[in-house]
Amino acid sequence: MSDNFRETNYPEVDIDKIMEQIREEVTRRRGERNKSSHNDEPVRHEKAFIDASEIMTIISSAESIADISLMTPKMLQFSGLTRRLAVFTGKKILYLSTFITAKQRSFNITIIHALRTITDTLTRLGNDIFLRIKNETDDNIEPLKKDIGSINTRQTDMSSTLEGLTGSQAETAALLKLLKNGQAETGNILQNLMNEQAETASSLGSIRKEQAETGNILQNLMNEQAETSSALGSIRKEQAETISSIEGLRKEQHTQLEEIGKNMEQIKSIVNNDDGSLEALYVSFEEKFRGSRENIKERVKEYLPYIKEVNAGTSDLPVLDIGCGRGEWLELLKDEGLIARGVDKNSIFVSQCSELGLDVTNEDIFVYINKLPDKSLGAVTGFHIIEHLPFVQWIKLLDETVRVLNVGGVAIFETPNPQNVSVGSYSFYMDPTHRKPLPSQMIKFIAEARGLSSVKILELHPNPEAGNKSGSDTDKRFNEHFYGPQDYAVIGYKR
Amino acid sequence: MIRRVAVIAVKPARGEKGGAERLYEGLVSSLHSDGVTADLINIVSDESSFEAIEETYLRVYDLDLSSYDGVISTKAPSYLIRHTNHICYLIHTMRVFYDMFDNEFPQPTKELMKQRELILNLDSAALSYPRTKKIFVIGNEVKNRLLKYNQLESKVLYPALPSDNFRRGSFQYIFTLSRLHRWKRVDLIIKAMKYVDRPLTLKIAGTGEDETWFRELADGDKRITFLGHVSDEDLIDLYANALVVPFVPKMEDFGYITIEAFRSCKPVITCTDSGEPAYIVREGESGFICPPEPEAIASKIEYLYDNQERAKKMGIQAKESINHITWENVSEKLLSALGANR
Repeated sequence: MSDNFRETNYPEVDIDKIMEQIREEVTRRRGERNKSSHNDEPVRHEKAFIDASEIMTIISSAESIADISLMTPKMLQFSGLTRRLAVFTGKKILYLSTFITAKQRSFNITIIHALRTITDTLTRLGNDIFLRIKNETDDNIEPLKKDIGSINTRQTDMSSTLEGLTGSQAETAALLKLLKNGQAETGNILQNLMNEQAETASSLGSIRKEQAETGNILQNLMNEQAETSSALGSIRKEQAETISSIEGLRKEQHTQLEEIGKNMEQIKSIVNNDDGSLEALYVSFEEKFRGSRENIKERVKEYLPYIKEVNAGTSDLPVLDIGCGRGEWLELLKDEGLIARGVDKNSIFVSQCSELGLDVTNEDIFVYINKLPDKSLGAVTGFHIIEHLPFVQWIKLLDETVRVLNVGGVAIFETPNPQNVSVGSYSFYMDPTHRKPLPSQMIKFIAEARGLSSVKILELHPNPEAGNKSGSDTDKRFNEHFYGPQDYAVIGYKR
Repeated sequence: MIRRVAVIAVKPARGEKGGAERLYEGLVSSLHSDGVTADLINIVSDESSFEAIEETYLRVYDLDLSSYDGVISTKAPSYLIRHTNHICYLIHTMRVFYDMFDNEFPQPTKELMKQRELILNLDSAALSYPRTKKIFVIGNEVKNRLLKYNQLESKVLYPALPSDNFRRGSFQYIFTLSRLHRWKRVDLIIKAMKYVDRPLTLKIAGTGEDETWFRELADGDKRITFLGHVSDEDLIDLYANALVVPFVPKMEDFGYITIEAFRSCKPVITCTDSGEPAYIVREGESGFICPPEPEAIASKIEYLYDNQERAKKMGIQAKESINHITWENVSEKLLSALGANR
């Protein structure tokens, strides 16, 4: 084959025309294939017309005997004279019967004619119908044949595909083997998975149970919450009511306070007005219960050595007696040539002291002491005053005392001794302005704590009615408790 | 706007799975992206008789693919399709009427000559513009043939590998993979082994109609092993550890073996008349192109055994030389020829 083999001028090639030719060729081949595939069946000649010949033969045979009684039988079963006689007899009978059979004959011939006409008509009609059906059928059959042709083509394609499939079947078989091995492994894995699943399922079961329980708890919690919130609701309501009632109360309180304030003002004015009478009352109370002026003056002599010891009572460092009262102590100091001052709130006591020529100021002790310069006094004394003060003021009095005393100065405070059972439970309360009994150790401790040094307790005034001081231990103890010192003094120094 | 593309595949009635089947898979999956749907339309081609061939031609001619925006035909006779937007990525025509005609029919009858003329006329007409808007071909062999027999111009577009798991291993033996058919000329390699005087074995993978003949030719040479069908994983290993891959078919249109060997960094020995492999292999750089003679092939095998560093270097150069062959590249060119906006 040479390289310049192709002489064809392909742009002039009409591809569609060639393809149509191929299509015809293919169709023709398929047609042949179809025909040859039906060769084993008997060839059928088309019977286009209805065959009426059989019917006509029957009618003719009927016609041949329609002329009944016109011919005698040949009487061939007889012979000779017998036959002649039989023929003769037959003819006679026939002759006679013609009179009877004439109508029958005419009927027979008419019927046969009618049958012939019917047969002819039927044949003609039948042929018309047959032809019409045949034409229609032929029209329908052609496309069917074409369809069968294409089905055959497809069948061929399918068989070639099938051959291809057979080839790949071997590969598929090998693959299947592999797959089966894989399947076995998969089976094992599946088994394991199922076991795990079973475990998981059981643990799931318990989890579900727990979940259910948790659910119940939750439900309860929710119920409680609901109750709580409703309770909260009512609490809030109550709260609101309470608040409004509190506000009401506040208002009331406020009004009451205003009233109280007003009352207080009135009380104050009353008290102020009645001040004189109360002072007078206390003066007369003192006259009755404190003891006589001489008796007291005698008692306080006890403290003179403490004053002289520190050289107090000079004009530079005088002695201050707080709550001086009737001024027995001031009078004693004056007698001793010592300089002393007194301060008392009670104007009656102050005026009595002034009459005696004592230096006494009518003023609140705190107001008075507050005005004194530091280290300006040699001694500070106070007899039976601290049991009249609230604790805080007593502290304040101690602090101020420490401040105003000069270094080396002495402070002396006397108070009833509650260690004496009679004092603590009875005589202490004789004075309605007493606050509470003060144990000596407590007072000593506080005095030291607030800055006084060498603090000591001086027990004074045992009951003169004390019984036998000697005797049993019980007697001694009894005497201590009931007839021991009725007062004590706390004595400290400023260092 | 190109949304739906049909690729017409032609499958032989007797199924030998070869390179074309792998090409279809790669092509369709690379087209099938970025707003484009690609369908593979299978045509079964019966080439057992001329009548059967005619019927296959007619079936494609009657095929209605008007619901697609574009059609890509591949093998004969898929390009007979009638579609307004049709391009062809030609794998091959029916070679028995083309370059193989003289081999198969040394004394053709008048009827055969007539049949050949008919096929060539039909192919030429169907592949002409405007029935076919543009022709791409898988290699220079197909391009030259198309020019020689059909006077048609075309553009070479190398198909890529469907999968790319190939790797480089050691350099141990001679390996070839082929359909065991006389056109693939495995006999040349088997004969070459008689001249190879080095401790090397030859592994031959593949099956085919001429296997018995090749086995007889090997004549019990213990260095030669026929592996039959091998799995894809085994194939990768076989390539990976080969010293060299001889691939010496006669007038091969493309031949994935060259590409697979190059991907595995192996030099390829091919022959001057082997077709496309002789275009792909660069003499002395990525392999050798020698005359189709056993002695010549044997001497190149011995050279590579004696110069293994050279063999390794050639393998690396071989891999680099085909980096541009990708399916993305192929589908981009095809879609742009169909008029897709890309």
